[in-house]
Amino acid sequence: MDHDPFLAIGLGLAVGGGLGVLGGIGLGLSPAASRITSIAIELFRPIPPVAVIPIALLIYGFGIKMEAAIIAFTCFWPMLLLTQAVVSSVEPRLIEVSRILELSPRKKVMSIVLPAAAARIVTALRLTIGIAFIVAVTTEIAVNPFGLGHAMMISQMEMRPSFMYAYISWLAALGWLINTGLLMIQRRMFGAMGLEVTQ
Amino acid sequence: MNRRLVDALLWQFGAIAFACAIFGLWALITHLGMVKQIFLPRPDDVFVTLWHQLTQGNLLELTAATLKRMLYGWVIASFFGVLIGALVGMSPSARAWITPTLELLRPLPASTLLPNGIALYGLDPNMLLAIIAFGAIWPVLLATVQGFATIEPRLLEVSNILGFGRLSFAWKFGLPSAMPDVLDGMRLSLTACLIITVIGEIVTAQDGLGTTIILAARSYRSVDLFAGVVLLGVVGLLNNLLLTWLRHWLLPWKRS
Repeated sequence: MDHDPFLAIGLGLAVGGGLGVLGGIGLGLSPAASRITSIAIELFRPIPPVAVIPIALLIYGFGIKMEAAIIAFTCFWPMLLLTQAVVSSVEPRLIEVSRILELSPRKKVMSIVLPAAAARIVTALRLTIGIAFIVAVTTEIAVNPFGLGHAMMISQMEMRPSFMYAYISWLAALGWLINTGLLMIQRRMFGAMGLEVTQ
Repeated sequence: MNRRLVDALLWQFGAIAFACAIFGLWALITHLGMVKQIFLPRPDDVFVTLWHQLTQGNLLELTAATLKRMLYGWVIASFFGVLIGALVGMSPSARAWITPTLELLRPLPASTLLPNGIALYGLDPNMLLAIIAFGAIWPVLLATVQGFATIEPRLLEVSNILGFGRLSFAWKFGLPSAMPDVLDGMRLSLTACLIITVIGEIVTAQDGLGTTIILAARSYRSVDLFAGVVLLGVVGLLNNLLLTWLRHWLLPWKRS
């Protein structure tokens, strides 16, 4: 349990990614909202996630909350922008159909927009999970006395290189597994749909 | 046409107003004392401190040190990324042999190499630079492989007919045709460079913005911390502008 960054990743991804998808759907459906927020997004998006590490440290201290907050911040932006891009490129005729059927906004999102955009939102999620993993390990190495990254840092300080290299190999294997696993799940679920990279 | 111009200006104005409103909200919350100053300082304090530290303190030097490290790392990563990427991308057999290894190494977070580097070389600035370059090479490398692998086959035929060697093919046909991919990779790589630079400074205690903000956080100097974060945001913004400009300049045929 102590060596497990996945709880923090799950928590951060749920909060940051969830907000990102919601915001992305809103911005993708309403050109007015996306134009109004464009400058604010351009201003805040380039803040590197590492700049948030000290802020989270200050607010939460060490532990899982701080790590989850950093991951949430990191996951928010790619999910927001990729979802916005995906939703705004949904076939306009489908949107017209929803207008003709006079669907409520909620119904429109649930039964028209989300099914049309799902495959590519999952692609965005796959890219974001990879980033979340990197940020989690990085946070642990830099400041958080918690998880795999920190265990690795400690084994270096204790001059136990065999442990250190074991952790590096394990992290490399984990990163590869996450990548390949998600790719496989995606292929199984959606076939070749949405596999093209939406950067 | 005039009406469209007015319309665009109005939207632009609205967008600026929205961004200002966020800062206004920040000012309002902090001035009303809804959040403790130690967690979220007042924006005016932050900007005054930022200006003060930049003009009278040593913040400018520290920023320059971070920027230098980031740009050196980026240049090294881009150079070797394009070089290796071109070699691998041009030969199908090299692709088949080397790509699996690259795919395995790529998801390894660059920060995991820091303990490794410290154990081998100690807290050395060049060690940090090498790790920054290594961590940032992947986006460029993979994008270059991709770009060279998808060159229009007829271009290869053209260059064969013209009697070009492989080197001049790579330079005259390969690189220009892979350039859009390479530049996309270089954009991601620059972002990675900034992140790894700051992390590396935190872990190896080199002088720079990373050390400055983490020390500010550890001693609860939240105004200094936020000033540093604002500065890092500005660096990120400038990086974006740099890449947009580079794209505009290097890819004249893709200007919209």
